[in-house]
Amino acid sequence: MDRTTKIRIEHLFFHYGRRRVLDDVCAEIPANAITAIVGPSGQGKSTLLTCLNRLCDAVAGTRVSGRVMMHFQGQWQDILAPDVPLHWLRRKVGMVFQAPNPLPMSIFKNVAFVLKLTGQHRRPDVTDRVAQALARAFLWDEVRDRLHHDARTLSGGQQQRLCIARALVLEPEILLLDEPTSSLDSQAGEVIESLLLALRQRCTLVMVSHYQDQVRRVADCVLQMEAGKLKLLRQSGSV
Amino acid sequence: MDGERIAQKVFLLAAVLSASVTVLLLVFMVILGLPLFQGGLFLRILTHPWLPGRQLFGVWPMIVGTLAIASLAMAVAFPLSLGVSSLIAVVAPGRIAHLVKSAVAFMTGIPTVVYGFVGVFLLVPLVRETFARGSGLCVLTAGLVLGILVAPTMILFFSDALARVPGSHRVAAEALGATPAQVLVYVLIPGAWRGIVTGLVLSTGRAVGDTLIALMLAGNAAQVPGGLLDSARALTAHIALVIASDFDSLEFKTIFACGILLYAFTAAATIAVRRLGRKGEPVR
Repeated sequence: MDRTTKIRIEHLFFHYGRRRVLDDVCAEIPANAITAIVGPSGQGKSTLLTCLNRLCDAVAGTRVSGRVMMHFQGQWQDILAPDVPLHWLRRKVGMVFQAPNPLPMSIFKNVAFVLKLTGQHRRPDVTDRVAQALARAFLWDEVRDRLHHDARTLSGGQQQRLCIARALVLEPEILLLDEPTSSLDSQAGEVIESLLLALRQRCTLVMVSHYQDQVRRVADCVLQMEAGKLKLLRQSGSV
Repeated sequence: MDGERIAQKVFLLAAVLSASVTVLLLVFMVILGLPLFQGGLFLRILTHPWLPGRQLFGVWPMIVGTLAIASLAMAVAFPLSLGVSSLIAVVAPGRIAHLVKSAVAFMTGIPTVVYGFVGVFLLVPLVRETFARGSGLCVLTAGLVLGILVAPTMILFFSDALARVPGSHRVAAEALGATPAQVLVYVLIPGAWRGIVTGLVLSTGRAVGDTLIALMLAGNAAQVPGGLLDSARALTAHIALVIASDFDSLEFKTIFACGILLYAFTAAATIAVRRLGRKGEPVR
Protein backbone atom coordinates (compact mmCIF):
# COMPACT_ATOMS: atom_id res chain seq x y z
CA MET A 1 0.00 0.00 0.00
CA ASP A 2 0.99 3.58 -0.57
CA ARG A 3 3.10 4.83 2.29
CA THR A 4 1.60 8.30 2.33
CA THR A 5 -1.90 6.93 2.85
CA LYS A 6 -2.91 7.02 6.49
CA ILE A 7 -6.45 5.68 6.38
CA ARG A 8 -7.88 3.28 3.84
CA ILE A 9 -11.62 2.73 3.97
CA GLU A 10 -12.67 -0.49 2.23
CA HIS A 11 -16.30 -1.28 1.41
CA LEU A 12 -17.71 0.30 4.54
CA PHE A 13 -21.42 -0.14 5.15
CA PHE A 14 -23.25 1.35 8.09
CA HIS A 15 -26.83 0.55 9.00
CA TYR A 16 -28.92 2.31 11.58
CA GLY A 17 -31.83 0.00 12.17
CA ARG A 18 -33.09 -0.69 8.66
CA ARG A 19 -31.69 2.51 7.20
CA ARG A 20 -28.46 2.28 5.25
CA VAL A 21 -26.43 5.36 6.18
CA LEU A 22 -23.12 4.44 4.52
CA ASP A 23 -23.28 2.51 1.28
CA ASP A 24 -20.09 0.81 0.15
CA VAL A 25 -17.77 3.66 1.07
CA CYS A 26 -14.22 3.34 -0.25
CA ALA A 27 -11.58 6.03 0.19
CA GLU A 28 -7.94 6.72 0.83
CA ILE A 29 -7.04 9.49 3.20
CA PRO A 30 -3.52 10.91 2.85
CA ALA A 31 -1.17 11.29 5.81
CA ASN A 32 -0.20 14.74 7.13
CA ALA A 33 -2.87 16.46 5.13
CA ILE A 34 -6.30 17.97 5.72
CA THR A 35 -9.04 15.93 4.12
CA ALA A 36 -12.44 17.60 3.98
CA ILE A 37 -15.66 15.66 3.70
CA VAL A 38 -18.36 17.81 2.17
CA GLY A 39 -21.95 17.30 1.11
CA PRO A 40 -25.52 18.10 2.14
CA SER A 41 -26.73 17.52 5.71
CA GLY A 42 -27.97 14.13 6.79
CA GLN A 43 -25.95 12.20 4.21
CA GLY A 44 -23.74 10.34 6.67
CA LYS A 45 -20.70 12.60 6.96
CA SER A 46 -20.65 12.64 10.75
CA THR A 47 -21.45 8.95 10.84
CA LEU A 48 -18.41 8.25 8.71
CA LEU A 49 -16.30 10.27 11.13
CA THR A 50 -17.57 8.32 14.15
CA CYS A 51 -16.71 5.07 12.35
CA LEU A 52 -13.08 6.21 12.34
CA ASN A 53 -12.84 6.28 16.17
CA ARG A 54 -15.67 3.79 16.73
CA LEU A 55 -17.72 6.22 18.73
CA CYS A 56 -20.56 4.78 16.66
CA ASP A 57 -20.26 1.58 18.73
CA ALA A 58 -22.03 3.21 21.65
CA VAL A 59 -25.24 3.77 19.69
CA ALA A 60 -27.72 0.91 19.99
CA GLY A 61 -29.16 -0.58 16.83
CA THR A 62 -26.25 0.10 14.51
CA ARG A 63 -24.42 -2.37 12.29
CA VAL A 64 -21.07 -1.81 10.62
CA SER A 65 -19.35 -3.94 8.02
CA GLY A 66 -16.28 -3.52 5.85
CA ARG A 67 -12.77 -2.52 6.85
CA VAL A 68 -11.15 0.69 8.03
CA MET A 69 -7.39 0.25 7.77
CA MET A 70 -5.13 2.67 9.61
CA HIS A 71 -1.39 2.92 9.39
CA PHE A 72 0.13 2.95 12.87
CA GLN A 73 3.84 2.37 13.60
CA GLY A 74 4.55 0.90 10.20
CA GLN A 75 1.65 -1.51 10.28
CA TRP A 76 -1.80 -1.58 8.79
CA GLN A 77 -4.53 -2.37 11.23
CA ASP A 78 -8.27 -2.86 10.75
CA ILE A 79 -9.71 -0.68 13.50
CA LEU A 80 -13.15 -2.21 13.09
CA ALA A 81 -11.79 -5.56 14.29
CA PRO A 82 -13.57 -6.57 17.50
CA ASP A 83 -10.31 -7.07 19.42
CA VAL A 84 -9.15 -3.45 18.98
CA PRO A 85 -9.18 -1.81 22.42
CA LEU A 86 -11.36 1.27 22.08
CA HIS A 87 -9.44 3.40 24.56
CA TRP A 88 -6.19 2.67 22.68
CA LEU A 89 -7.80 3.59 19.36
CA ARG A 90 -9.26 6.82 20.70
CA ARG A 91 -5.89 7.90 22.04
CA LYS A 92 -4.51 7.49 18.52
CA VAL A 93 -7.53 9.08 16.85
CA GLY A 94 -8.66 12.28 18.57
CA MET A 95 -11.96 13.98 17.90
CA VAL A 96 -13.31 17.53 18.03
CA PHE A 97 -17.05 18.03 17.93
CA GLN A 98 -19.32 20.55 16.27
CA ALA A 99 -20.25 22.27 19.53
CA PRO A 100 -17.36 22.80 21.96
CA ASN A 101 -17.82 20.33 24.79
CA PRO A 102 -15.45 21.23 27.65
CA LEU A 103 -16.06 19.26 30.82
CA PRO A 104 -17.39 21.15 33.87
CA MET A 105 -13.96 21.71 35.40
CA SER A 106 -11.11 24.20 35.13
CA ILE A 107 -9.23 24.94 31.92
CA PHE A 108 -6.16 23.18 33.28
CA LYS A 109 -8.08 20.13 34.43
CA ASN A 110 -9.85 19.76 31.11
CA VAL A 111 -6.49 18.99 29.53
CA ALA A 112 -4.85 17.31 32.54
CA PHE A 113 -7.89 15.03 32.78
CA VAL A 114 -6.81 13.26 29.60
CA LEU A 115 -3.36 12.57 31.09
CA LYS A 116 -5.04 11.26 34.22
CA LEU A 117 -6.95 8.78 32.06
CA THR A 118 -3.65 7.33 30.91
CA GLY A 119 -2.31 7.16 34.45
CA GLN A 120 0.02 10.17 34.26
CA HIS A 121 -0.12 11.99 37.56
CA ARG A 122 3.38 13.45 38.05
CA ARG A 123 2.67 17.11 38.59
CA PRO A 124 5.63 18.79 36.78
CA ASP A 125 5.21 16.60 33.69
CA VAL A 126 1.47 17.15 33.61
CA THR A 127 1.87 20.91 33.94
CA ASP A 128 4.41 20.95 31.08
CA ARG A 129 2.33 18.87 28.76
CA VAL A 130 -0.84 20.85 29.45
CA ALA A 131 1.03 24.08 28.65
CA GLN A 132 2.45 22.53 25.48
CA ALA A 133 -0.94 21.34 24.28
CA LEU A 134 -2.54 24.72 24.98
CA ALA A 135 0.30 26.40 23.07
CA ARG A 136 -0.15 24.08 20.11
CA ALA A 137 -3.84 24.95 20.08
CA PHE A 138 -3.01 28.71 20.02
CA LEU A 139 -4.66 29.17 23.41
CA TRP A 140 -1.80 29.44 25.91
CA ASP A 141 -1.31 33.21 25.73
CA GLU A 142 -5.01 33.85 26.32
CA VAL A 143 -5.42 31.55 29.32
CA ARG A 144 -2.02 31.36 31.04
CA ASP A 145 -3.21 33.68 33.82
CA ARG A 146 -6.49 31.91 34.48
CA LEU A 147 -5.74 28.22 34.07
CA HIS A 148 -7.81 27.40 37.13
CA HIS A 149 -10.97 29.20 36.02
CA ASP A 150 -13.98 27.20 34.93
CA ALA A 151 -13.57 26.26 31.27
CA ARG A 152 -17.13 27.29 30.57
CA THR A 153 -16.21 30.95 31.17
CA LEU A 154 -14.19 30.94 27.93
CA SER A 155 -15.63 32.27 24.68
CA GLY A 156 -16.96 29.78 22.13
CA GLY A 157 -13.83 29.98 19.99
CA GLN A 158 -11.57 29.57 23.02
CA GLN A 159 -13.62 26.59 24.21
CA GLN A 160 -13.23 24.96 20.83
CA ARG A 161 -9.46 25.53 20.90
CA LEU A 162 -9.43 24.08 24.42
CA CYS A 163 -11.17 20.99 23.04
CA ILE A 164 -8.51 20.79 20.33
CA ALA A 165 -5.76 21.14 22.96
CA ARG A 166 -7.42 18.38 24.95
CA ALA A 167 -7.49 16.15 21.88
CA LEU A 168 -3.83 16.96 21.12
CA VAL A 169 -2.32 16.32 24.53
CA LEU A 170 -1.92 12.59 23.86
CA GLU A 171 -0.27 13.33 20.48
CA PRO A 172 -2.86 11.54 18.32
CA GLU A 173 -1.81 10.55 14.83
CA ILE A 174 -5.23 11.34 13.42
CA LEU A 175 -7.58 14.16 14.38
CA LEU A 176 -11.26 14.04 13.40
CA LEU A 177 -13.14 17.33 13.29
CA ASP A 178 -16.90 17.51 12.88
CA GLU A 179 -17.69 21.01 11.56
CA PRO A 180 -15.33 22.53 14.12
CA THR A 181 -16.11 26.15 13.24
CA SER A 182 -19.84 26.03 12.56
CA SER A 183 -20.81 27.29 16.03
CA LEU A 184 -18.24 30.12 15.95
CA ASP A 185 -18.08 33.60 14.46
CA SER A 186 -15.87 34.12 11.42
CA GLN A 187 -12.95 35.57 13.37
CA ALA A 188 -12.81 32.64 15.80
CA GLY A 189 -13.21 30.36 12.78
CA GLU A 190 -10.16 31.87 11.11
CA VAL A 191 -7.99 31.23 14.16
CA ILE A 192 -9.06 27.59 14.11
CA GLU A 193 -8.33 27.32 10.39
CA SER A 194 -4.78 28.58 10.79
CA LEU A 195 -4.40 26.19 13.71
CA LEU A 196 -5.47 23.28 11.51
CA LEU A 197 -2.94 24.23 8.87
CA ALA A 198 -0.21 24.23 11.52
CA LEU A 199 -1.30 20.87 12.90
CA ARG A 200 -1.00 19.20 9.51
CA GLN A 201 2.76 18.80 10.09
CA ARG A 202 2.32 16.19 12.78
CA CYS A 203 -1.16 14.90 12.30
CA THR A 204 -3.59 13.59 9.72
CA LEU A 205 -6.74 15.66 9.82
CA VAL A 206 -10.18 14.58 8.64
CA MET A 207 -12.75 17.35 8.76
CA VAL A 208 -16.43 17.55 7.97
CA SER A 209 -17.25 21.02 6.71
CA HIS A 210 -20.21 22.88 5.26
CA TYR A 211 -18.30 25.95 4.18
CA GLN A 212 -17.05 25.95 0.60
CA ASP A 213 -14.68 28.85 1.36
CA GLN A 214 -13.17 27.06 4.29
CA VAL A 215 -12.69 23.88 2.29
CA ARG A 216 -10.99 25.82 -0.49
CA ARG A 217 -8.70 27.55 2.00
CA VAL A 218 -7.50 24.60 4.03
CA ALA A 219 -8.27 21.24 2.43
CA ASP A 220 -5.64 19.24 0.56
CA CYS A 221 -8.14 16.61 -0.42
CA VAL A 222 -11.90 16.88 -0.75
CA LEU A 223 -14.30 13.96 -0.58
CA GLN A 224 -17.98 14.39 -1.30
CA MET A 225 -20.65 12.39 0.48
CA GLU A 226 -24.03 11.97 -1.10
CA ALA A 227 -26.72 9.47 -0.18
CA GLY A 228 -24.22 7.31 1.69
CA LYS A 229 -21.74 7.19 -1.20
CA LEU A 230 -18.35 8.86 -1.09
CA LYS A 231 -16.43 10.15 -4.08
CA LEU A 232 -13.16 12.01 -4.53
CA LEU A 233 -13.83 15.58 -5.60
CA ARG A 234 -10.40 17.13 -5.63
CA GLN A 235 -6.88 16.37 -4.51
CA SER A 236 -4.10 18.92 -4.54
CA GLY A 237 -0.86 18.13 -6.32
CA SER A 238 1.27 18.16 -3.18
CA VAL A 239 -0.37 15.06 -1.75
CA MET B 1 -68.15 28.59 32.14
CA ASP B 2 -65.85 29.15 35.03
CA GLY B 3 -64.79 25.54 35.32
CA GLU B 4 -61.19 26.55 35.07
CA ARG B 5 -61.45 29.00 37.95
CA ILE B 6 -63.20 26.43 40.12
CA ALA B 7 -60.50 23.88 39.33
CA GLN B 8 -57.88 26.47 40.20
CA LYS B 9 -59.54 27.12 43.58
CA VAL B 10 -59.79 23.41 44.33
CA PHE B 11 -56.14 22.85 43.56
CA LEU B 12 -55.13 25.87 45.60
CA LEU B 13 -57.14 24.55 48.53
CA ALA B 14 -55.48 21.16 48.19
CA ALA B 15 -52.05 22.78 48.12
CA VAL B 16 -52.75 24.99 51.15
CA LEU B 17 -54.21 22.04 53.08
CA SER B 18 -51.27 19.74 52.46
CA ALA B 19 -48.76 22.47 53.22
CA SER B 20 -50.53 23.41 56.45
CA VAL B 21 -50.56 19.79 57.61
CA THR B 22 -46.77 19.98 57.90
CA VAL B 23 -46.98 23.07 60.08
CA LEU B 24 -49.99 21.82 62.08
CA LEU B 25 -48.16 18.60 62.89
CA LEU B 26 -45.40 20.56 64.56
CA VAL B 27 -47.87 22.83 66.39
CA PHE B 28 -49.84 19.79 67.59
CA MET B 29 -46.73 18.03 68.87
CA VAL B 30 -45.39 21.10 70.63
CA ILE B 31 -48.77 21.75 72.31
CA LEU B 32 -49.12 18.17 73.51
CA GLY B 33 -45.49 18.07 74.53
CA LEU B 34 -45.66 21.48 76.26
CA PRO B 35 -45.39 20.05 79.78
CA LEU B 36 -42.05 18.60 78.72
CA PHE B 37 -40.53 21.99 78.12
CA GLN B 38 -40.96 23.05 81.72
CA GLY B 39 -38.11 22.71 84.16
CA GLY B 40 -35.63 21.14 81.75
CA LEU B 41 -37.60 17.93 81.54
CA PHE B 42 -37.14 17.76 77.76
CA LEU B 43 -33.37 17.70 78.06
CA ARG B 44 -33.51 15.10 80.83
CA ILE B 45 -35.72 12.87 78.68
CA LEU B 46 -33.26 13.11 75.83
CA THR B 47 -30.21 12.26 77.92
CA HIS B 48 -31.38 9.80 80.59
CA PRO B 49 -31.56 6.02 80.36
CA TRP B 50 -34.87 4.19 80.32
CA LEU B 51 -35.26 2.63 83.80
CA PRO B 52 -38.95 2.58 84.72
CA GLY B 53 -38.14 0.80 88.02
CA ARG B 54 -36.19 3.90 89.12
CA GLN B 55 -38.69 6.29 87.56
CA LEU B 56 -36.21 7.24 84.83
CA PHE B 57 -37.91 7.64 81.50
CA GLY B 58 -35.13 8.87 79.24
CA VAL B 59 -34.98 8.07 75.53
CA TRP B 60 -31.19 8.23 75.15
CA PRO B 61 -31.01 4.48 74.39
CA MET B 62 -33.59 4.94 71.65
CA ILE B 63 -31.61 7.81 70.10
CA VAL B 64 -28.51 5.62 70.02
CA GLY B 65 -30.58 2.69 68.75
CA THR B 66 -32.02 4.75 65.91
CA LEU B 67 -28.59 6.07 64.94
CA ALA B 68 -27.03 2.61 65.05
CA ILE B 69 -29.72 0.96 62.93
CA ALA B 70 -29.96 3.84 60.45
CA SER B 71 -26.16 4.13 60.03
CA LEU B 72 -25.83 0.43 59.39
CA ALA B 73 -28.70 0.62 56.91
CA MET B 74 -26.97 3.46 55.06
CA ALA B 75 -23.65 1.62 55.13
CA VAL B 76 -25.39 -1.26 53.37
CA ALA B 77 -27.63 0.75 51.05
CA PHE B 78 -25.17 3.37 49.77
CA PRO B 79 -22.57 1.12 48.11
CA LEU B 80 -25.31 -1.22 46.92
CA SER B 81 -27.27 1.64 45.35
CA LEU B 82 -24.25 3.28 43.79
CA GLY B 83 -23.28 -0.07 42.28
CA VAL B 84 -26.70 -0.88 40.90
CA SER B 85 -27.28 2.62 39.51
CA SER B 86 -23.84 2.54 37.87
CA LEU B 87 -24.77 -0.79 36.33
CA ILE B 88 -27.93 0.77 34.94
CA ALA B 89 -26.13 3.87 33.65
CA VAL B 90 -22.88 2.47 32.30
CA VAL B 91 -22.17 -1.21 32.39
CA ALA B 92 -25.34 -2.62 30.90
CA PRO B 93 -27.44 0.03 29.17
CA GLY B 94 -30.37 -1.15 27.09
CA ARG B 95 -32.47 -4.17 27.92
CA ILE B 96 -30.68 -5.32 31.06
CA ALA B 97 -30.73 -1.81 32.52
CA HIS B 98 -34.42 -1.55 31.75
CA LEU B 99 -35.07 -4.88 33.45
CA VAL B 100 -33.07 -3.97 36.54
CA LYS B 101 -34.75 -0.58 36.76
CA SER B 102 -38.22 -2.10 36.51
CA ALA B 103 -37.37 -4.59 39.23
CA VAL B 104 -36.07 -1.81 41.47
CA ALA B 105 -39.15 0.33 40.84
CA PHE B 106 -41.29 -2.67 41.73
CA MET B 107 -39.34 -3.16 44.97
CA THR B 108 -40.17 0.39 46.11
CA GLY B 109 -43.83 -0.63 46.10
CA ILE B 110 -43.50 -3.72 48.27
CA PRO B 111 -45.10 -3.04 51.70
CA THR B 112 -42.59 -2.61 54.50
CA VAL B 113 -44.23 -5.36 56.51
CA VAL B 114 -43.28 -7.88 53.82
CA TYR B 115 -39.62 -6.95 54.23
CA GLY B 116 -40.08 -7.34 57.99
CA PHE B 117 -41.73 -10.69 57.51
CA VAL B 118 -38.94 -11.98 55.31
CA GLY B 119 -36.47 -10.67 57.86
CA VAL B 120 -38.16 -12.50 60.75
CA PHE B 121 -38.27 -15.84 58.97
CA LEU B 122 -35.06 -15.78 56.97
CA LEU B 123 -32.54 -13.39 58.42
CA VAL B 124 -33.29 -13.68 62.13
CA PRO B 125 -32.61 -17.45 62.29
CA LEU B 126 -29.56 -17.01 60.06
CA VAL B 127 -28.06 -14.32 62.30
CA ARG B 128 -28.92 -16.35 65.42
CA GLU B 129 -27.23 -19.49 64.11
CA THR B 130 -24.26 -17.79 62.45
CA PHE B 131 -23.20 -15.87 65.53
CA ALA B 132 -24.62 -18.31 68.11
CA ARG B 133 -25.53 -15.41 70.34
CA GLY B 134 -28.84 -13.87 71.36
CA SER B 135 -32.16 -14.22 69.64
CA GLY B 136 -31.17 -12.87 66.25
CA LEU B 137 -33.35 -9.82 66.86
CA CYS B 138 -30.67 -7.16 66.88
CA VAL B 139 -29.15 -4.03 65.32
CA LEU B 140 -27.46 -6.12 62.61
CA THR B 141 -30.66 -7.78 61.41
CA ALA B 142 -32.70 -4.59 61.47
CA GLY B 143 -29.93 -2.57 59.79
CA LEU B 144 -29.48 -5.08 56.97
CA VAL B 145 -33.18 -5.29 56.17
CA LEU B 146 -33.62 -1.54 56.49
CA GLY B 147 -30.70 -1.10 54.08
CA ILE B 148 -32.42 -3.36 51.54
CA LEU B 149 -35.66 -1.45 52.13
CA VAL B 150 -34.26 2.02 51.41
CA ALA B 151 -31.92 0.91 48.60
CA PRO B 152 -34.52 0.90 45.78
CA THR B 153 -35.48 4.54 46.38
CA MET B 154 -31.83 5.46 46.54
CA ILE B 155 -31.10 3.55 43.32
CA LEU B 156 -33.85 5.40 41.46
CA PHE B 157 -32.52 8.72 42.77
CA PHE B 158 -28.94 7.88 41.81
CA SER B 159 -29.74 6.55 38.36
CA ASP B 160 -31.87 9.61 37.57
CA ALA B 161 -28.99 11.83 38.66
CA LEU B 162 -26.53 9.83 36.54
CA ALA B 163 -28.86 9.96 33.54
CA ARG B 164 -29.11 13.75 33.85
CA VAL B 165 -25.37 14.23 33.30
CA PRO B 166 -25.22 15.80 29.81
CA GLY B 167 -24.52 13.27 27.08
CA SER B 168 -21.89 15.62 25.62
CA HIS B 169 -19.73 15.21 28.74
CA ARG B 170 -19.87 11.48 28.44
CA VAL B 171 -19.13 11.48 24.72
CA ALA B 172 -16.25 13.92 25.27
CA ALA B 173 -14.64 11.55 27.76
CA GLU B 174 -15.27 8.50 25.57
CA ALA B 175 -13.75 10.22 22.55
CA LEU B 176 -10.66 10.98 24.67
CA GLY B 177 -10.15 7.29 25.33
CA ALA B 178 -11.79 6.95 28.74
CA THR B 179 -12.78 3.40 29.64
CA PRO B 180 -16.36 2.88 30.89
CA ALA B 181 -15.07 2.77 34.47
CA GLN B 182 -13.20 6.06 33.98
CA VAL B 183 -16.28 7.67 32.46
CA LEU B 184 -18.18 6.64 35.58
CA VAL B 185 -15.59 7.77 38.11
CA TYR B 186 -14.37 10.98 36.46
CA VAL B 187 -17.45 12.24 34.63
CA LEU B 188 -20.74 10.68 35.68
CA ILE B 189 -20.38 10.50 39.47
CA PRO B 190 -18.91 14.03 39.81
CA GLY B 191 -21.61 15.33 37.46
CA ALA B 192 -24.36 13.60 39.41
CA TRP B 193 -22.89 14.40 42.82
CA ARG B 194 -25.63 16.76 43.89
CA GLY B 195 -28.35 14.27 43.04
CA ILE B 196 -26.43 11.54 44.81
CA VAL B 197 -26.16 13.59 48.01
CA THR B 198 -29.86 14.48 47.78
CA GLY B 199 -30.77 10.81 47.46
CA LEU B 200 -28.48 9.98 50.36
CA VAL B 201 -29.97 12.60 52.68
CA LEU B 202 -33.58 11.73 51.84
CA SER B 203 -32.89 8.02 52.25
CA THR B 204 -31.28 8.67 55.62
CA GLY B 205 -34.49 10.45 56.58
CA ARG B 206 -36.44 7.42 55.46
CA ALA B 207 -34.19 5.04 57.41
CA VAL B 208 -34.47 7.11 60.59
CA GLY B 209 -38.23 7.45 60.19
CA ASP B 210 -39.03 3.83 59.43
CA THR B 211 -40.90 2.15 62.26
CA LEU B 212 -41.86 -1.34 61.30
CA ILE B 213 -38.48 -2.85 60.49
CA ALA B 214 -36.95 -1.76 63.79
CA LEU B 215 -40.07 -2.83 65.66
CA MET B 216 -40.10 -6.30 64.08
CA LEU B 217 -36.39 -7.04 63.88
CA ALA B 218 -34.34 -5.04 66.38
CA GLY B 219 -35.64 -6.70 69.55
CA ASN B 220 -36.83 -3.45 71.19
CA ALA B 221 -34.77 -3.68 74.38
CA ALA B 222 -34.66 -0.17 75.87
CA GLN B 223 -30.92 -0.20 76.33
CA VAL B 224 -27.94 1.40 74.63
CA PRO B 225 -26.74 -1.33 72.26
CA GLY B 226 -23.13 -2.34 72.89
CA GLY B 227 -22.62 -3.99 69.51
CA LEU B 228 -24.23 -5.14 66.31
CA LEU B 229 -25.63 -8.29 67.93
CA ASP B 230 -27.32 -6.41 70.77
CA SER B 231 -31.01 -5.73 70.84
CA ALA B 232 -32.00 -2.08 70.40
CA ARG B 233 -35.09 0.09 70.28
CA ALA B 234 -35.56 2.88 67.72
CA LEU B 235 -37.34 6.15 68.51
CA THR B 236 -40.12 5.25 66.11
CA ALA B 237 -40.55 1.78 67.56
CA HIS B 238 -40.61 3.32 71.04
CA ILE B 239 -43.53 5.55 70.06
CA ALA B 240 -45.40 2.59 68.63
CA LEU B 241 -44.77 0.42 71.68
CA VAL B 242 -45.71 3.05 74.28
CA ILE B 243 -48.76 4.30 72.43
CA ALA B 244 -50.10 0.75 72.28
CA SER B 245 -49.83 0.12 75.99
CA ASP B 246 -50.09 3.34 77.95
CA PHE B 247 -51.63 6.79 78.19
CA ASP B 248 -51.20 10.00 80.17
CA SER B 249 -48.17 9.16 82.25
CA LEU B 250 -44.62 10.47 82.18
CA GLU B 251 -43.78 7.37 80.21
CA PHE B 252 -46.43 8.34 77.69
CA LYS B 253 -45.17 11.91 77.47
CA THR B 254 -41.73 10.77 76.34
CA ILE B 255 -43.17 9.84 72.97
CA PHE B 256 -43.76 13.52 72.26
CA ALA B 257 -40.09 14.14 72.84
CA CYS B 258 -39.38 11.33 70.35
CA GLY B 259 -41.84 12.83 67.88
CA ILE B 260 -40.33 16.31 68.11
CA LEU B 261 -36.85 14.86 67.70
CA LEU B 262 -37.83 12.89 64.59
CA TYR B 263 -39.61 15.93 63.18
CA ALA B 264 -36.56 18.09 63.76
CA PHE B 265 -34.33 15.52 62.06
CA THR B 266 -36.57 15.28 59.00
CA ALA B 267 -36.86 19.06 58.77
CA ALA B 268 -33.07 19.43 59.01
CA ALA B 269 -32.57 16.84 56.27
CA THR B 270 -35.09 18.58 54.00
CA ILE B 271 -33.53 21.99 54.56
CA ALA B 272 -30.08 20.55 53.89
CA VAL B 273 -31.30 19.15 50.55
CA ARG B 274 -32.92 22.47 49.61
CA ARG B 275 -29.76 24.42 50.34
CA LEU B 276 -27.73 21.93 48.37
CA GLY B 277 -30.10 22.36 45.44
CA ARG B 278 -29.76 26.14 45.54
CA LYS B 279 -25.97 26.21 45.39
CA GLY B 280 -24.39 26.68 41.98
CA GLU B 281 -22.35 23.92 40.46
CA PRO B 282 -18.88 24.08 41.97
CA VAL B 283 -15.76 24.04 39.82
CA ARG B 284 -13.92 20.82 40.29
